[in-house]
Amino acid sequence: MKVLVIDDEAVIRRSIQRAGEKKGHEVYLAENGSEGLAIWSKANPDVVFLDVLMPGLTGPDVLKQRDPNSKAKVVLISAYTGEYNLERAQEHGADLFIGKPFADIFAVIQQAEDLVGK
Amino acid sequence: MSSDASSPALVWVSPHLEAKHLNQDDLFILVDPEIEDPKKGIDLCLFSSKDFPGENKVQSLLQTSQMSILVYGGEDDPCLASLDWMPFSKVISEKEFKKLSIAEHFSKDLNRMKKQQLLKQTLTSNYHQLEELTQGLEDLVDRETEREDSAKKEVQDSLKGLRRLVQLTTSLGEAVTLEDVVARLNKDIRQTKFSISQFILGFPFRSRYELIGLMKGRVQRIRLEEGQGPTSIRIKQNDPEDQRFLANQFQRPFVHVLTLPLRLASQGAQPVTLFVEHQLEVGQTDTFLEEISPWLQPLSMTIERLLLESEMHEASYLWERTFDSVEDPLCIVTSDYELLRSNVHFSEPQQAGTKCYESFANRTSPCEGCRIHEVIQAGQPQTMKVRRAGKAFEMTSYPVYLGPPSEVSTLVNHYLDVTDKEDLRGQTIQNEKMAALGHLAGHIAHELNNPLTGIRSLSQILMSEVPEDSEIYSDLKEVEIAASRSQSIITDLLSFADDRGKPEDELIDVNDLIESTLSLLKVSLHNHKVDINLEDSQLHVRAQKSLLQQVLFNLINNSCQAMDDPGQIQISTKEQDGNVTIKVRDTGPGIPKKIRDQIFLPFFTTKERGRGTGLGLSMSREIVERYGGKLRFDSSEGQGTTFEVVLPKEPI
Repeated sequence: MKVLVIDDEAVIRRSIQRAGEKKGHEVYLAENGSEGLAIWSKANPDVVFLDVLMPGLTGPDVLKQRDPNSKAKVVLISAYTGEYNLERAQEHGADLFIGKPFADIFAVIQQAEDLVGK
Repeated sequence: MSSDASSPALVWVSPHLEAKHLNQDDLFILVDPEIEDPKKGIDLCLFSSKDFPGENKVQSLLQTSQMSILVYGGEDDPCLASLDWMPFSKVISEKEFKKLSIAEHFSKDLNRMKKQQLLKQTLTSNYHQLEELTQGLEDLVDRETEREDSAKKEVQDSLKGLRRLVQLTTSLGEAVTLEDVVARLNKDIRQTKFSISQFILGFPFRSRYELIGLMKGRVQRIRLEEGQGPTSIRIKQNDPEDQRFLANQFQRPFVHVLTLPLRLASQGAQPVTLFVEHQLEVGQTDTFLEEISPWLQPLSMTIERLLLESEMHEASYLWERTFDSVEDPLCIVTSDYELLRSNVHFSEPQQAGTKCYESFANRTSPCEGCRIHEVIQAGQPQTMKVRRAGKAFEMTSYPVYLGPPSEVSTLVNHYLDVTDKEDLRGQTIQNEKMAALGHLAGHIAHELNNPLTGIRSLSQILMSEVPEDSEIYSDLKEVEIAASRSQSIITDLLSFADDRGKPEDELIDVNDLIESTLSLLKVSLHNHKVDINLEDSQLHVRAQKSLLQQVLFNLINNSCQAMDDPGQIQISTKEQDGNVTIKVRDTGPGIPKKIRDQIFLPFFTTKERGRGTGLGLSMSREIVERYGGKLRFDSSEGQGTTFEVVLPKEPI
């Protein structure tokens, strides 16, 4: 499957990329919202890891501007668990919420795979 | 009446006697019976028995004048028979009488009668003279005796009077109330011969007139309506106004009243008055007045003294009540902190010489922050903060000048309880601190979570790429574990800070809470050995998580700080009688006995300035009690202290 990671934190992008590729997925990386939106419409990913808090466009901003025809599942990720939960994430149009720090990166990839497989 | 033989006699003739029987010669002067009264200077009365005035009248005539009486009437006239007792009188029958003229009848007798009369007069006069002489002599003897007696009596009386005066003065000097004075007066007067029912004392007191007197056998005090009471300063006897006035007040009639106004140095509009109710006989009053007049001066002085004392007592009472009515602690102290006066809110009554800090704050040295010496030097009031038993006070000390205007003699200290204000401020500070900590924690968590996620995730990825028995795998595993631990610390910190402002109580696993609290205290705990002994089963309580965590944090942190040298901290949980017990035990020096009852008081701290607010334990207790629990401790000096939190267990 095609995975898009939109996160301003390089180490997060790299972690998901490495784990995703290891599982045989095609991973695209964007370090901010607008870059993410561009890749989103070009690459048409199956799943998007979207950080909430980013300079410029935030995660929810990106969700508002995404291509309405995209079938991509969205996993909202945030380091600030106090602000976000699944309910909040779904309100914004995301399918899953995973708080940082991840306990297990492969489990995160697995969750994304499950989401797309449903 | 006086007459001698040669002068003509006056003859009174009763109307029924016919004048023709009387010869007009120089022996007789007839008196007109119509005009003259037979008593006046008459020598002879001639009565017809028809006119006889009766025996009584004759008796009285004979007594008032030395006259002769001639009664004539019929021989058988019973009147004549009954008159033979009359001295110098003659009874003669009408028939006999008519034979001669009156002159003839009496010319022979008259001289005899006159002689007899004269003799009688002389005799009487002699007798009288003798009698007078005897009487005179007797009188003289009597007078002499009496004079001697009265001189003796006078000396005795005056001695007795003096003695009584001394007694009374002494007795009055011992009187402590005006009632007492009246009682003593009434008792004293009974020892005299005077018949006095009672003394009533009237006096103006606190703008009213009052009476003290016997009422139903007891000395009682009557306070009059405003404007009532005597105004006269005259001595009066049985004054109707006074009688009415006393009768009104005592509800019974007053008959004999002597009103004696007393002279006092401080004479007001209404005089102090002694009313004397008495049964003195007429004429005895003067003697009585003479007797008691020397009493009046000591009496006045005593009354003056007692009235003054009453007023002073009243003033002092008023002052004290006012002082005590102020609900803040107040005291008057010397510059040496010696307590002169204090109100009930300051402390219990103290012995003389007690220092203000001893009685107010139970201290052995002046309160911290007390600057009364500056007040004395500057001569200006100052406000300072002092504490006593967990209470914070703003004490304002005012200088008092009793002597020279530049010399502060004493100080009046007024204490305003600002505990609640400070408490609120302390809580606000604590809340702000926690809010700031939460904000900071959130920020740190956010900043650290990303790199930690990367470190951990990449470790996991790398670990999946190397053989599990390789050195690299083991190294990566350590990195992954370290990152994991860091994460959990951040999570705890975040939840500790985040929960604030969320007032809902929730089900808390006490064991979990202890674990997460310990992770926040690693630095504090690192010097000490930590021994954790938790109940195997889950122990749930219902509370606000952040608050309960704060309690545990405080207790564990205190234990760490109590031990200067590395020691041991034991933390244990247990289920007991439907409660969850959490124990935090340290091996520190223990809590000194003298401060044990103070450690839960707000602001009480043994930590140096800036390290503790003195609120930790008081707030912890407040939190635990809020959830129906108890926070207590057991400490022995040199052995350590155990704090115990008991909370009701919540069934799952």
